[in-house]
Amino acid sequence: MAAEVAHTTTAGLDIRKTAMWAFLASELMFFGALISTFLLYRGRTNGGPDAHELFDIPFTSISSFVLLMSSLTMVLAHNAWERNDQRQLRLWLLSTAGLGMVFLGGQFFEFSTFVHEGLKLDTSPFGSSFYMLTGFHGAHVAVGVLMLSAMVIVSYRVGLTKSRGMNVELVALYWHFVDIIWIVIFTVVYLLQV
Amino acid sequence: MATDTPAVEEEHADHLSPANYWGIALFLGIVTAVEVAITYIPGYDGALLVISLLVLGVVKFLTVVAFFMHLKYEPFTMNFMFYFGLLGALALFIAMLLSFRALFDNF
Repeated sequence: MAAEVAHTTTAGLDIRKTAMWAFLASELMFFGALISTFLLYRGRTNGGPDAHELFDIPFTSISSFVLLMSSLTMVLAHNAWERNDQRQLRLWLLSTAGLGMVFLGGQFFEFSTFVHEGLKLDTSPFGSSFYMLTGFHGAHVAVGVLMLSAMVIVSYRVGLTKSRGMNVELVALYWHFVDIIWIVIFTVVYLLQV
Repeated sequence: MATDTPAVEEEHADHLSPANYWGIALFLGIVTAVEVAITYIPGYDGALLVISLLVLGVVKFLTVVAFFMHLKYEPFTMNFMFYFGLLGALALFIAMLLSFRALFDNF
């Protein structure tokens, strides 16, 4: 109980969770800047391919659905953690990491296709801003997959009980954040540009 | 909640069941399908399409934040921090596009 008290603010809030929400708020502004930059430069193609020629909406829709479902598996992992059901927790954590890797595979395929079709990082302001935005999002997904994998390893070695802190909850918050950012990117960068 | 340090356990008292989460995911999947479908409807374009997509996107965003991230059940401080960040991002977005006179070119 002493450890529990040590992790709370004077207002009774958990410090780590409060810090995570503050971090996510700053990340919102970070991605807000990247999305704004993309919208500023989306028409500057320097003669290279544009969004109409490149974007494959059915393919990206499936990727979006995969990431959306990873939020479901993550919240189910969190639910299992609250019930101290280690078996279900591992199952859903692994499912989430797996779906995250499927999403990353889709992004790698998409980037490869775009490069093959003539859109490189230095082709145009459109290309630079597109790769910076979606690349940074992909990097966040990759970090999430690493954290989920670490959670699975920890769960096998010592177990992820509530008494061991709220790491699952913090990773879950991060993962859902990655999902909501993609919801915005999918709508603003993909659907509204074709 | 009479103590100075609210128990972390109590924060989760209102969380949903796995069946509820599956239902929410189904709803999110349907909204995504609708988003994609309306982009293929002939004649459904311009401001109507833009507004529809933005509204559907906001619905998905807020659903995930409220129910999957459990922000709906969190104390005011955490809600304030997150929505302050969101407002900051929107302000940055509008200010940046207005500065370059590009706000309405995009939609």
